[in-house]
Amino acid sequence: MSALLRIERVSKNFGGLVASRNVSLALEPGDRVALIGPNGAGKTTLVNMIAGLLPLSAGRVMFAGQDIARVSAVARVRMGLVRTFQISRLFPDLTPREHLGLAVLQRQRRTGHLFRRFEAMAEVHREIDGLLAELGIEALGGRAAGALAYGEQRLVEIAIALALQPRVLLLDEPAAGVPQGETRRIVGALDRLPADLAVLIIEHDMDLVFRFARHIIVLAEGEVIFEGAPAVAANDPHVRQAYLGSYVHGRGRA
Amino acid sequence: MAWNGALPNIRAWPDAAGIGSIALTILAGYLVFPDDLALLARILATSLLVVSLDLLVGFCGIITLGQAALFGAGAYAAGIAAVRGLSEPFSLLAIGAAAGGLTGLVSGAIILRAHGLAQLVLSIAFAQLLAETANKASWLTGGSDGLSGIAPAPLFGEFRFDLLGRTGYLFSAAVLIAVLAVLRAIAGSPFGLLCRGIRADPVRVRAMGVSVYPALLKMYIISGIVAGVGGALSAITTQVVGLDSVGFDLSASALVMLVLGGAGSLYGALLGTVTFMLFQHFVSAENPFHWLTLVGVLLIAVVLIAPRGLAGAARTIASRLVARWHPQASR
Repeated sequence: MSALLRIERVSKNFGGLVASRNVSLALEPGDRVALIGPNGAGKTTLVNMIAGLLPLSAGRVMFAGQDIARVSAVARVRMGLVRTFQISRLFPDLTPREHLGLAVLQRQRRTGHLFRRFEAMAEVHREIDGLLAELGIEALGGRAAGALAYGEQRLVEIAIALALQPRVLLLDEPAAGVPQGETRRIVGALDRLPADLAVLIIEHDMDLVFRFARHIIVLAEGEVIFEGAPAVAANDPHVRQAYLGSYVHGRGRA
Repeated sequence: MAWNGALPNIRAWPDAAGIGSIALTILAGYLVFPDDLALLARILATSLLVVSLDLLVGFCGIITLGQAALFGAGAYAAGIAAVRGLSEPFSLLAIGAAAGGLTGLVSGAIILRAHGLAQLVLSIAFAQLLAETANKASWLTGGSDGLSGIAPAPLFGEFRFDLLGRTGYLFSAAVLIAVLAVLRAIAGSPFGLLCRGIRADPVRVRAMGVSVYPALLKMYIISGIVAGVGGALSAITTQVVGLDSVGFDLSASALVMLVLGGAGSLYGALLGTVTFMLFQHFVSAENPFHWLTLVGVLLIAVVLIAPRGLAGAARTIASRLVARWHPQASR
């Protein structure tokens, strides 16, 4: 049995600090797995290792049956392993349309074209229109991303990831920093993700996690302390204690 | 038609109307200053150098103080070819473009490996290396005496590059306009879009699955071609090539001109070059010993008062005027 994405006993040390210890997980197409845990539990470290931005100290990451230790971060995106950022990371002067255009053009390996006008590439713009509509942000397409509300920027982040047509999507706190009233739109966007996409989500908003995830992994101090169905996780005394207890404990370091 | 609130975007790259007005300005220069065409032609050739620098600094966020290497490579290649008997002007331009593009490839491959200060130092070192090579290879380049005896053939076999400089000026003008038109096309292309993304956030670009280094190297080659064409133009119109064309002074002046005019829009590069070189010409005639002091004062004033350069200041003033006359249009 080979999962689409398989992480095997992955560890990461920063000097003496252990950020991840022996973490294993597997994603199949269509999976919705949430990674939760207090600040400093090593969630983003794990995403960065899967995305290829951080080398592993031990263990291995397998994608589609292949060890991708030597595959660059850029090449992983091209293989279909796409991540979003915890803090919105858009080009402030570019419009959402231009962001999505870059993503679509990358997929078609056409970002290097010199003498075709981007504005005249009708088929690219049709695809962008579809993505904007899917996320309900058609009206924002032509405004500078830096001028958008934060919640809207988060939606653009998700749209960019979708434009890359990933097989595995790593969502790093898609609702972080979004005002309470606006998370509804993020939740709606997540509900409409392609059914066969494998999704690993990090999120602190527990309403969102329990609504979205069908499998939950709890990290604390870099280690997996629970893994199972959301209903079980919610009632597990260890999870409650570790999560709440080390949240207070961990905040000083975060 | 009602005012729709859209401003001409001076920070954006020149559109057809912008290129048209640049062409008209150049033509006006020809009619108004018929006795200074040699100076004006030098300004046009230098504009290409500063435009090529803007492609790297303003458009991609690359830091370089060695841009004269690309310009000088074009100037020497065209000059050497002309001295050795190839004198057709368009062929000389092509040789300059090729030499500039090749130098851009080699220097870019090295310089882009580093970032920030290290990148700056590498760019200076590469240009110094090239300047020293030009100095030492005097059998080929004329060394510190410069390369003379460049006699370009008449343009289209008809128009001689004479002392009045009419042919040289109009030829330079046509080449500059053509280059701007090509760059405008590139700015609107997928590659132009990619470069804007890279300047804003290379990490974000990589997370979209695009490698940054090859894209920047490609821009370095394009920049080298533009600078090389400028160098070849300078060789054709002045008919000499000296060590100053690869020197550190020229690299530094080009950066000053770009900052003066405002980086990131080709207008700023043009405006900065014209302002700086006219200032240099007239003020140094007036006061040969202190003109650089005055350039320093001018630059400090511009950087403090208009940090986005003359082009940025022009845009701010334009939008204020529009706001005054069309208060309902500006929001």
